Amino acid sequence: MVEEDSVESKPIPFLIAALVCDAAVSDPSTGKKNLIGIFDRIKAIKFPVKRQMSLYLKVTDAEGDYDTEVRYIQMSTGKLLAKAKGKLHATDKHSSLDLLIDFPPLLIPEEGRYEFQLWANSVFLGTTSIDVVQQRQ
Amino acid sequence: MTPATEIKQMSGAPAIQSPEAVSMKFQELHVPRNLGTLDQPVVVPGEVLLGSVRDGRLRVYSPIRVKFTQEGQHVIAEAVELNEFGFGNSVSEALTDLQHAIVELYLTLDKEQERLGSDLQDVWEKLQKLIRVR
Repeated sequence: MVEEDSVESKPIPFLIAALVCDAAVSDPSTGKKNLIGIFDRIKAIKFPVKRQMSLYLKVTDAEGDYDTEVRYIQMSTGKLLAKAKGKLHATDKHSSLDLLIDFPPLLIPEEGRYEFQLWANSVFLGTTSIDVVQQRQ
Repeated sequence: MTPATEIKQMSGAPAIQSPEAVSMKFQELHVPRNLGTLDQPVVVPGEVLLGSVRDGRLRVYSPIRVKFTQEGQHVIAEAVELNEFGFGNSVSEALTDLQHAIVELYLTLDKEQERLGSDLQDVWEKLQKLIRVR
């Protein structure tokens, strides 16, 4: 279902970077983001399995308020496995905004590719993906 | 759909943007334990609004309406206003293929502006309403 309210009136944010990592922390004194253990591939011995993941996103061209959603999707089936919803507030579209999301352990039902999709005001902004393979014993 | 299970915070960049720019609510959706076989039908959304063409040179100025259809195991993504198509084994693959097709179309029409016939001129005008050079 396409929701077209307010999408025309606001700039569409541009996704500069999207990275999946083990942990992401923001330095309280400087505000700098530290990403620990960036990865795009997981080996699992058995399925289904759950794994903790953090997501770092950097956007620009945003101005105003956006209803933001991150969807975690199994690409082979298109199934939505989890999502995080929130509000994004940007004051200057020429500057950038970086976001850290610490997901709780996310379900990986089987081998394959999984995707994190970023949406703002129901507009698709971009993705990053991880590949999950079976660890042969 | 299960209720929200946990509240997570997402922080913004300091100095430039307000640190409390975003708060996120996490929701894990119910998934059957036996999920996942290759012959399982792909979940295909009807339509989405596309806000990126995956190319740093171009900016989507107005969302591009994309319609999805499924033919067997293949997914087709169609940019309705532009009559451009992308194909793949999943929604994401089809969307990525469509994004590449749109970029290719934009760059080609931009380069060949002087030689466009009336049909392609119409497409170029539509494209310029949706996409601009950054």
